[in-house]
Amino acid sequence: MAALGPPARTLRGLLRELRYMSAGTGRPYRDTEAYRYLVKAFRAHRVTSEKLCRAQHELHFQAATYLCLLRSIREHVALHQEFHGKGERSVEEAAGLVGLKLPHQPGGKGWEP
Amino acid sequence: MHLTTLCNTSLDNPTQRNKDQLIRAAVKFLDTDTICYRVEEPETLVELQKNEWDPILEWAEKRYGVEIGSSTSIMGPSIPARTREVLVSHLASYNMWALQGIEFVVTQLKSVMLTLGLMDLRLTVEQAVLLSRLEEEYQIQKWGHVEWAHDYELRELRARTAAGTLFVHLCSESTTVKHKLLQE
Repeated sequence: MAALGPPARTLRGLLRELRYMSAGTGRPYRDTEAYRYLVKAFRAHRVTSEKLCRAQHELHFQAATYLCLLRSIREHVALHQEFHGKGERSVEEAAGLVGLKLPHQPGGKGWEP
Repeated sequence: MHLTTLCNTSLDNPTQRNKDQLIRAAVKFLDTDTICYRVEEPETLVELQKNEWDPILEWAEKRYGVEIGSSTSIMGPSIPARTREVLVSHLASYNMWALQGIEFVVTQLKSVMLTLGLMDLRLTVEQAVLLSRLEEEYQIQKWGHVEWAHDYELRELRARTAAGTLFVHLCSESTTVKHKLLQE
């Protein structure tokens, strides 16, 4: 079977991802539906009378897959911002490259409102 | 937004394929399955492919009772018709939505075997992606890695594969919770 590691680690990872996502919204991550659901689900499915419970393993696998999804999306977006997110230079910046400045016309150009 | 995209694809079915066509498209990939297509040199890469990919082939052959085998020829492996039939009937047990997800993952990983490994919980997403990119990882080890290309693509592949795998599992499962009374 796939090497998943202890469920506690998966839960920690998921909560960490939640924390990163909630950091932008200002709302504490413990306040979100997702947090409550995750903690409840992990607690509820922890106990099983069978030694080698396939359903439990399936759920853990799903949680680990979801964690992989969240983590790789976050890292992908971060890499995109760092390396591919700059876009074109503005006209001012392009002029500044060769040491020029854009002309400043007091009163604006004729066609502007 | 990979999960949403998969849902939209399943709702719209833009390629207008029915279940049979989806299954056949997925099984067709077997002819160029990544883990069946081996190189002949360099020696270390051959070894690596053997050590990493053979166990998955063995697992699949045992699990489904079929013959697959690998090949170094440019024509790719020759898959016996019986293997194809067995896999087609196995995939037929999935519903339309799950099949969209399966075909998506097969296209991402370029491998039917690795996808089956994911669906049967034999591999984690990270493992499957690593096996799919084995040659690339080998070259990265040798020549160094370029963050803005390698890592970028790795994260994207992981995200898509994870989304596809989750999608298939969520579309295929049925959950029943049976509460047992604790014996005092």
